[in-house]
Formats: sequence, structure tokens, C-alpha cells
Amino acid sequence: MKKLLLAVAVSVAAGSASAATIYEGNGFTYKLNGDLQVQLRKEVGDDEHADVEFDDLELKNYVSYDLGNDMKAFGRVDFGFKDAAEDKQDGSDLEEAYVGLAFGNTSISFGKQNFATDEFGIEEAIELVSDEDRFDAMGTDGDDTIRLDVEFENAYIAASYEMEAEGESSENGEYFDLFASTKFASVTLAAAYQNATPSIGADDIDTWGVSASYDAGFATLAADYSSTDDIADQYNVAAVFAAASTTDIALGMVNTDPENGDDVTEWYANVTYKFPTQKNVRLFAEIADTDEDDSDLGYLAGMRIKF
Amino acid sequence: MQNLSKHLGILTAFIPSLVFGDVTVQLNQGTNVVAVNGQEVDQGNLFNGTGSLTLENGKNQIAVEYTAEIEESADDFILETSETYVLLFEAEDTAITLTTPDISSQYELKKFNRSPQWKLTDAHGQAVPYTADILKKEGFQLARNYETELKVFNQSNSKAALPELQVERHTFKQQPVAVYETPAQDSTDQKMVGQMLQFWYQQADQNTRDKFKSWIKTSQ
Repeated sequence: MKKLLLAVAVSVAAGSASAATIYEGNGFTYKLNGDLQVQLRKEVGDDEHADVEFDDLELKNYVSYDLGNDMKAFGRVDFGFKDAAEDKQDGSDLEEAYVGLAFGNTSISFGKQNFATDEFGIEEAIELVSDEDRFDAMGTDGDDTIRLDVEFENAYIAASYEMEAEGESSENGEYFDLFASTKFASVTLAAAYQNATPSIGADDIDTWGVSASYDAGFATLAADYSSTDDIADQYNVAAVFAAASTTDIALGMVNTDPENGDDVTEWYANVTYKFPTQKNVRLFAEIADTDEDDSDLGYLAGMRIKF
Repeated sequence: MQNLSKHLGILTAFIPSLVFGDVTVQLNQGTNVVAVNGQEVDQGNLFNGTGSLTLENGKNQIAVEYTAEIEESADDFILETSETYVLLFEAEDTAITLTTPDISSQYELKKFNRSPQWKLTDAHGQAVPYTADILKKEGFQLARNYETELKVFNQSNSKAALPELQVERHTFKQQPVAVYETPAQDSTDQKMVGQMLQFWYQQADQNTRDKFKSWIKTSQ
């Protein structure tokens, strides 16, 4: 019987790196990540039609310098072109731009970036017509943001502050956000809080949320609850099953209960296939619907390439 | 040719520990093998998800990386690849599973890059001892030439270096090296052939002997 040395497919071109590091040397590192996602989608809702959507088309540039003594300076500039691809161009393609310093497992950064509460949430939908959670509804990114991140072995804490920048072109309110999570055994717990003043002179609004997820081996089960005072409450439940080593099936539901008006429940079911030798490449499909009047089932199918 | 094969068969019958086997290494998802015993791994195809290697008995050296999905926010992640590790281990006639810890945060990836947490387990659930070192390259990381890097690496004092790989070896092929027209029933020639075979087998190191034994088995 012939014995063959079996080969494993590892990269698109022999000898090339399959991930993002472009340059590494003399303490300097430059990484380029990309996320290309194109889908055919008919949105959930009344009288919606299918079209080709882009979510996302991102190029993320990360640089860092090793300053010695476990200290690092870093910067990130991320571009997103999905609006341009859909002829919705109404501003910059710049999505994130910040610099910072890292000391061991603690980092502080300044610039255009996401708030700490952007870490919150357990939903597993590919696309939702509802807000993902109350923090998503209130806003989770800014242009004048200072952010602190601390990572431990089983815990993570983040805090951010979006400056008022009154009278400046980047003025978009004042936000203070906190997020904390901990992982033990197969359980992950998280909590988040935001105090938001969406515009100068307006009353500030508090939002808080808690979440839990459990890895049961055959599936991951998760739920979260978030509430914005006097505005709305929201909860998510989701389950992700590993149908095969390459295939995940997710089922979930998000309920939004406004202070005034009827609550809306949106459900979704999706499947994602990762190519066995290149987890960078995935195919996916999803169906979803809400219980709103005159709402029709929505669907999508697409492909995602990350590097 | 039949007589030669017969003599080879008789010769190898007297070699102790005559178990022609191999070592299979099963990889977990996310682990990429970039080189085996100094040679870059051939490209496969998108649907070839075997995720395993078959190696010869004895000492083997593999260069591996792990690509992790690092959570960036609640609904997004980026792909980060670990340092390229060179793993050196020895095994005979067993199936080995190569696994990594679950890595989903920058903290966990940093920890993995600082010290090797690869796990090699044999078919009986026993840990297979190995030595590991990082194959570092300064400069542009695209289109790395792992064969050239490993040539330099294997000449170094690294605990995962395998200097024997630098020794040029014969590649035993299905086709004979040279075709002779042996006269039928020439017992004197066959006696000399047997003596020469035994002599050269004794001169060969373990690596060449293992390759020779594998070739005999696959050519029958």
C-alpha cells in the first residue's frame, strides 16, 4: 500500500502569511486586516425588495512600536467603504482613527473609536432591523473618545468618555461608558452602563445592561437584557449550535419594549459555513421576521472574506 | 528483480524491531502547518479538510501557526495569527493529536506567543514530549521562505533544531536507481548483492534506515 505524506492546505500562495502581519522588525509591527462581506438581501418589513448589500468593506491598519519595559505605542486607522459601494456616500470613509499607549495588559487610547459599551451584547444575527440592544440604540461610537482597556486572564474591563467638544465640528454629545466581563468554567457574564447626554443642554440618560452566556459543548446559549430609563427595555436570547466542525446554526430573538407604543419581537435563524482549510472564508444565509403589522419575512445569503 | 526483492525481504526479516509503521498527526481547526522536516507544505484545495499529516517513525520537525478569531467587539472579530512555532518530537507507530488552548482574546494570544502551549497527545491519551522554539523573521512577512529560514534555524543552537535535516539524503523512489540485466540463476552475484546490502544498511543512520524500510514496504 502506498504511503503518502499528506499535505494540509495552509494558504493561498505557498510561503505567504495567511493573516495580517505585513512587517515586523526592530520593534515595529504593521498589520493589515480586511473584512469583505457581500450579500443578497431582502429586508424584513413591508414591501421590501432584494438588493446586493455590502456589510462590511473594511480595511484596518494597525501599527505598533515596542518601547521596551512591556510598553507599546500603537495606532489604528480603519476605513469602511460599504456606503460608497451602495452609493450612499455622505461623508468620510474613515471608521476609526486613534493612537494609544499600552502598559502590559492595560491600554489607553484617544481618537475616533467605539465606546466601552460596544462590547456588550449576545445577539447572533447577521442583520437586524431592530437595534441590537439599548446601547446600540443610544450610540456606541464617537470622534473625541478616550478609552481605557484592561485585560486579565478571566476578566475584561473597559471605560470610555466621549468629550462634549461643544462648538466643534465633531460635537455629538457627551457619553460615559463602562463595561466589565468575566469568564469562568463555561460561563461568561457581563455588565455595562452608559450615561449619555446626546446633545448639549439636553437631559442625561442612563442605560444599563447585563448578559450571560453558557458554552454547553454542543451549543452556546446566551441572553442579555438592557434598559434605557424612560425610553425602552430590550432583551435578546440566542443559541448557536455547531452542526459540524465547519457549520454553525444560530437561532435568536430580540424584543424591544418602548415606554410608549407596542413591543416588537424580531426572530432570526442563520447558518454559517467556514471552509475547512480557510476559516477566513465563510458562506452564510439567514431568514428573519418581526411581529409588526404588514411585516414580511426577510432573507439574505452572502459570503465573507476576512484577512 | 524478483530475486533482489526476495533478498531484500529476507535481509529485512533479520532486522530487529521490524514494524513498518508511521505517525499520523491530527490538527485542530485553526492550526496551519507551514513546513515538515524542513520542506514547505504543498498547497491543498479548499475542500480538502483532512487536517492531518502522516510522518515517518522517529524524530520529526514541524513548523506550525495558529490563527485565532479575536473578539473586537460584541459582534465583530479579527483574525490574528500566532508566532510560527517549530516543534520537534519523536514518535513511533501512533496517532498524535496536536491541539492548542482556546484563544479568543489578545490576552490569550499574547500568552500563547510568550510560551508554547501546544499539546501533543498520543493514541493512549499520553502527552508526547516535544521541544519548541519560535521561527522569527525580521522584516516583511509576506511570502516567507520557510525552507531557507529552517535551514538557518536547524544550524542554530535552538532546542527545536534538527541538524540531521541538513544532511543530504537519498530519496527512495518506486523506480530503481539503475536497471541491471541480471543473469538468471547467478548465485555468486546475488551473494555479493546480499553482502553489499547488509554492509550499506549498517553504514546508514537511523533516519536513512527508516526511509529504506518505508520504501521496501511501499514497493511491495
